[in-house]
Amino acid sequence: MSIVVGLAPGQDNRAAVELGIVLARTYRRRIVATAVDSAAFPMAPVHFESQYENRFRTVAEAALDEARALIPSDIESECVLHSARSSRRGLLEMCEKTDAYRLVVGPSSEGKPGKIALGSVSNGLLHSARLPVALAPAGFGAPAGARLERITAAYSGSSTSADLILGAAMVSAESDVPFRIASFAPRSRVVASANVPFDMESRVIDEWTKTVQRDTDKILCSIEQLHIKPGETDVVVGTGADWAAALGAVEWKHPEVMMLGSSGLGALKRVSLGSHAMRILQNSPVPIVVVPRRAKADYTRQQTV
Amino acid sequence: MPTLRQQLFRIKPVPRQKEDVETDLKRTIGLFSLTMVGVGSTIGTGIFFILSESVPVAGPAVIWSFVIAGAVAGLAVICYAELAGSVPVSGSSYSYAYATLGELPAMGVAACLLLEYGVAGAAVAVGWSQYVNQLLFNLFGFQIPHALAYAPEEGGIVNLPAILLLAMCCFLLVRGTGESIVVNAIMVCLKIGVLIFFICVGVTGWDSNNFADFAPFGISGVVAGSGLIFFSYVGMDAVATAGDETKNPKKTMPRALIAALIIVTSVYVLVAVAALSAQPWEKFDGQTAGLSAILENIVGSQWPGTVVAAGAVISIFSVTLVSIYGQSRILFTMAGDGMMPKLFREVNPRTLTPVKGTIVVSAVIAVLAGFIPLNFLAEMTSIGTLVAFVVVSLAVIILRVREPNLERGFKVPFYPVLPVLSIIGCFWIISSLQVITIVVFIIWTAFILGLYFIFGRKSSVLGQQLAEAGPTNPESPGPDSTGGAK
Repeated sequence: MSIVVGLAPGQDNRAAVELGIVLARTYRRRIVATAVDSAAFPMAPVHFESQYENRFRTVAEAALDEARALIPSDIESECVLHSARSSRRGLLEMCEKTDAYRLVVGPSSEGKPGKIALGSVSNGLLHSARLPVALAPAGFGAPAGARLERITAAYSGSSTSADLILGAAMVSAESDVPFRIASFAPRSRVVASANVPFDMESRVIDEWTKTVQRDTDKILCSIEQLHIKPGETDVVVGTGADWAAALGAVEWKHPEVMMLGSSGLGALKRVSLGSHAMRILQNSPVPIVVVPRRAKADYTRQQTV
Repeated sequence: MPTLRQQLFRIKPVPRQKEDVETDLKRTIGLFSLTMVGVGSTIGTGIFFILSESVPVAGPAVIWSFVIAGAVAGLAVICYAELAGSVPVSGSSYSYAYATLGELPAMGVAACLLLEYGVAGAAVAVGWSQYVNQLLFNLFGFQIPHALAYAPEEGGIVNLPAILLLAMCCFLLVRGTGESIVVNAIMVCLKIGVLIFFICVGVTGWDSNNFADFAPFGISGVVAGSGLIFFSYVGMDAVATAGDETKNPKKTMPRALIAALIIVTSVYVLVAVAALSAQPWEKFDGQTAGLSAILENIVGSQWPGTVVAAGAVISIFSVTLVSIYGQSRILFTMAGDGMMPKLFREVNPRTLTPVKGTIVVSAVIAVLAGFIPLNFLAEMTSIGTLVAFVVVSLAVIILRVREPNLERGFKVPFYPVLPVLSIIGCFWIISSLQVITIVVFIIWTAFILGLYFIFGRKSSVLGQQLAEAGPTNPESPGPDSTGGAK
């Protein structure tokens, strides 16, 4: 099994490669750095575009060279130029071919430093991938030789989310990485009040915190019943004036990843605003591993094996 | 075991120091913002449809009904401000009553609040359905059939648009409050804009002959009118709940209250004057979507009516939203005290909102809105608000007697004249309400207090805490040594 790192020719791929290295080292897998050559689509009028194709190939080779230079010698790796109809399809084909464990992609070129930004390719991958997709924030880097310090699973209160937590706990137990569960909520304020204090919503969030802690405790107990020992497990709840503050309210290790279910990302294609999962994704200071709907079955099956 | 009296009048203690430290950090609201809180949460509650209910009762002298209702609301809200300032807990009048008068009076206030917000929500939804019908007619030339747009007593079967409105509000609130509050701020501007538009167009149809028969029913008509109109001042008490966050509350609070009262009353009076000058007062009776219909008569074309109807449809929506919101959060607070079933306290982890509570509240309000006529709903809201104001004014007096040295963020001027006047004013208006309203109100309050006697008294979180602390604990709060309110 491999960690496929998707390279975007002509862009800065350092963040994705660095994340790929950390994951490969933690999960003890090899890296398959892949640049997709979608210009070589066989239906294209070849003579006409050959010059463009050559130019593209040069850029793609440069990206692969860059990746090769970044990947340290302790990690087994291969760098491939793969031809496919589209970047998204090419990466998925490569994942299938190499029986990939994770697919890693970088931020879109407009990403703000330290934040995850979905581009058209990563957005499409979240909908169609059959394996967990790791998204690197812009400018992500890790110290040499670093392994994951911790895996955090985001809990959003749904049953999907509970399944995901079990899956993430299993992953962390297998790879001997500390594990924790985290939930986030913004504390909104009441502006035009209806005979309720301005901090009313804060009290609702306090009650929510209790509920989440009760639920996550229950999930952790069920993990024990499965005889999984995910090292030191831990539950945190982050709240703040807005989503960014809520995510900033808990401490993060470096490097750390957060697992996020995609049930809340279902409507991503159309309207992404308003979805809690989307807000977490946009404001996360650490890389996010999204478990797409199609990958969920596989991901949670691990725990019963 | 505590005696019955100890149970009924146990007082919820307040964590003073901690709260003080926290509140100092977030005093961000100035005079202007606080005034806007008052104006925003009050205006538009009833003005869009209350004229067709109150003018037939008072005649053109309904203008004075507005002034009387405004003055009484003002007196009560000033008392409210003192209470809010002397209890370092922010909350509704329920929380203040619990922290000063005790558990039983708090339940009484809660019964009033449930009427104030629940029934106001229903009344406003009924008014909304009138404007929706008007708008549909103006834009598309058809109306929802009478049977499906009016309560049984008004010749229909069910008020379907009102029920739909409540379902929509419920949906929005269940999804999350973040967005709905931003929308609310926009709505306030829209409401004021529409009312100013009405006044400007309305005065073009000025005919002073319409004021000739100024007070056909004398002073009793005027007071009866203020009973109905009082409902339009629901929400003014929101100013007092902001005490915690107000800069220099001693000065800001009364000024903001008076400013908000003057603004709201002026707008109401101007709307009433413009409407009354445009048509004889006898024509108001039974007029639906009143403001919109009046403009159409003046201008002779549909567009101004359509503008008002559209504005009303959008802004009344927000008023209903706030009602359900307030109601569900008051129940949330009460459930936390063990005074209401736990279901109102449950927060859905996914949506971060009290989903079950919101649905129950919306469903009950929807039933009221679907089957009960508007004038009765308006009166029920008024009586709930008025009685809550009486309790608040009484609480000011009781607290001054019982704890004269308590530090108060804001003090009622002209004590004890002002709180006494407030109580007299409230009773004066209550006395003008229909007998059935008063009877239903008493039954309702008895029902809530009955629930308290059977369940709340035992499930009270405060009671359990006191029991755990032990009866001999000298720090055990409770008005054992004082008389309590009888």
